[in-house]
Amino acid sequence: MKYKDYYAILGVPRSASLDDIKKAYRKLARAHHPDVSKAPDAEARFKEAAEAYATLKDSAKRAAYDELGHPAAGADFRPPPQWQQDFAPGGMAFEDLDLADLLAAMGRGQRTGPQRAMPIKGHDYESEVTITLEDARHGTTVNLTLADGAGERTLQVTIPPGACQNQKLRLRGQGGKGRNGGPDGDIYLQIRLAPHAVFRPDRHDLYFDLILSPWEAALGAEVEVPTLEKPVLLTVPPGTRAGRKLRLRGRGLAPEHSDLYAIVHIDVPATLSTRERELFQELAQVSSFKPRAA
Amino acid sequence: MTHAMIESFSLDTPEVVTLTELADYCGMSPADLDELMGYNALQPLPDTAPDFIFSAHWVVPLRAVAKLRMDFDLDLFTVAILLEKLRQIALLERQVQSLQALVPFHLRQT
Repeated sequence: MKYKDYYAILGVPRSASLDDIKKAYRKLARAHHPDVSKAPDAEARFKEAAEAYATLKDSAKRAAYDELGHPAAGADFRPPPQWQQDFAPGGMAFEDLDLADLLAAMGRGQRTGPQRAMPIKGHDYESEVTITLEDARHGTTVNLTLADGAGERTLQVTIPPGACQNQKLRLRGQGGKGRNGGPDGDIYLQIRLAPHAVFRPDRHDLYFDLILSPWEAALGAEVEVPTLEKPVLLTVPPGTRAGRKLRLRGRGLAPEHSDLYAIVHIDVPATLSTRERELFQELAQVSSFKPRAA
Repeated sequence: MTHAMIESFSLDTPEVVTLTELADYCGMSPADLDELMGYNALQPLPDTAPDFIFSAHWVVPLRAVAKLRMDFDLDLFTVAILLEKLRQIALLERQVQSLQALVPFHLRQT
């Protein structure tokens, strides 16, 4: 078994107080936490510090660790024979364990022997999957590949219809294997929606831009609009103003309780024919519409 | 490959979980959750005492704070404050997403 110098990892003397140990750990955790640091070795350094702290903050574990003396870091050493009987889970050989496993077993109160080992729940996994809006509306099946202690495995997971951005699913019992009769862990699967060329999701509703000509907006029109299924005819009421939201009921991501909204934008021709110019000029003369009036 | 249909449970608001289930999902003890309720950081559904029932929407933020608690050795009072802040961030992210849905493609920066 390789010795790890937990004091050196935390950068504290062997006589450090619990307060000093806690401060040193928090400083390292703040610097190397994977949510904070982008350094390639951040996660490894964070885990190393967490392992050291898990032992040194617990007076019983720290005393047991101190019993080992002070071999050089990385040096092979053999724990006291009594530890085999007291802590090695399931009577495992020391060679199959590392120092962290052994000290963790001590924390679970295994000193009375493996026959009274506490049940331990398997590891939970966090994963995410990206699906299209069409798959979110209709439901789909995705292959989820996980790498754990048992090797690589692929699960076929059914995503029910009506998924939305950042929705989380819990896949019960599909995580790491439990030990000593403990339950298997779970998988927490976060759903991401792939960007779509036309539609923008907001929870279960969808939005898209509907560009109208000035006369369509003023007079009303029937226009063909896209949906996640086939295009449909949308009635634009007369006097529709820019920014108005026109609803297509039940056309969102969850067919039963979500909608598709067309957001109206009004565009004008960049260039006008002579006749178009004449008509617009005539309209300008006869119209009483004052868009900037209070 | 595992071809069996994998049972999934949505962690959306309409789903509910018991106190014991919530504790199990987020790796905290029922006593920890009780203390968080004492700080008013965690609210059960109305009229469910003493067998508290919670909206499943608590699972995700509670798992996040439970991990931060373990990683940074935080006390429960700090966890209570963090939980509230994480929920505020989630709410703001939701509002940003709603506003982004209204912004036409040609005006979007990203």
